[in-house]
Amino acid sequence: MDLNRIMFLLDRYYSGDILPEEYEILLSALEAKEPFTPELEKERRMLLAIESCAPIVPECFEKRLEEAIEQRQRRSGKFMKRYVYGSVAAIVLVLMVIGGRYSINNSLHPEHRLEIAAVEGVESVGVVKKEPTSSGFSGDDIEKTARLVSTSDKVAKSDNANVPKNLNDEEFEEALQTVDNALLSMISDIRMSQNSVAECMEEIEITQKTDFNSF
Amino acid sequence: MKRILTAIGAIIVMWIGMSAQDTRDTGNVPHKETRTEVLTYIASLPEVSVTYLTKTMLQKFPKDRAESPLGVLVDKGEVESIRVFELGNEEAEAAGKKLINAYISELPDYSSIDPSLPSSQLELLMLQNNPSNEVIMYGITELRNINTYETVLMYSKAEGKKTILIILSGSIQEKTIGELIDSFSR
Repeated sequence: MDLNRIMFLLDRYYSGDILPEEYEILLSALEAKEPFTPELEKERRMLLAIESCAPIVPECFEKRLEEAIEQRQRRSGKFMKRYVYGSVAAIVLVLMVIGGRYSINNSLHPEHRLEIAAVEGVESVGVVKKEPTSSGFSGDDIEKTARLVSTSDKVAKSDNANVPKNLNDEEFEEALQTVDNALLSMISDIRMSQNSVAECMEEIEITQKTDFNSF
Repeated sequence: MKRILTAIGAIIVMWIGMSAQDTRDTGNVPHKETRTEVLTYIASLPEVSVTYLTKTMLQKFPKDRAESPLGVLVDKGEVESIRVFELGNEEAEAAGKKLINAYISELPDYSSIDPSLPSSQLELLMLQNNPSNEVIMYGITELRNINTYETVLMYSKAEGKKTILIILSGSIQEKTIGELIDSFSR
């Protein structure tokens, strides 16, 4: 091949316009053992050096590359899904925990609810008498008290309606007696205390040395 | 590895959040029990008897028993409700005193809102503590009338008798309590 043709192909190579067939022709021309000018010799050595370092493309490389890209895209889609579902699950779990703690803190045992109704809520209703029991506040007592509350509540709601005498006559009498006895007992204790104070005062001796100005 | 570390981090964050939800008072400030809490507690104790007479019940008080202490109170028309607690053991007695403290501690200080109002509605009527008997009596006055009690708390404990806590509510004149004691203490 003549030198002009080689120079032409080299120009096309550097400009990037060279076709693969022309590149093969250029390479085979440069590999020939013809004597070249010093400039052309340099070009020959450079091109051959580059050619010897060219990577070896494995078989089906393009196909494998496409498969890898597809797989990566699929994985990133899966990751996003997992991320979203995980976040939602975590939020739901935290809300459940908070809700559970809140309901535990505020809810009362059913028995205690009835106890409050029996004692505090009775403010709007009639008489409740709780008998002392050694076994404590049993389930029967709770039910009995709740029945009393609900019955008396209906009575109270009827706006000063007459309490049917047969409904709580006995309990009413018993309650009146209890309160009377309690008041009497209280008054006698108060009097006893007053008496003890009076006795103490009587024991105070007033002597000639008593300085009344100090009182 | 990343996932394991993320999961561990999430567990730690949730554990911190859960322990922060613990709103129970565990600090040095003592928890002030409310009246409701103490009443609930008293109601749950054994050997405690509670009798509660409301206004409606008091209005139906039989006239033939006007000579009794209750009859005197009903006759005056000042009492709207009476609660009697019979406290049968030491725990119940302590709970009774707690109830008195709860009533006292829930009194607001109106003087900070209106300087013309008294700073406290509470009056100590009687306080006696002997080996043989103990009497505590408090009166909670009405807001603008210090001679009238809206609540009277009476606690008495004597040897050989059940401890009693009586709570009178209404609009009770100061002299009514004195007359009651004088009438029945001969």
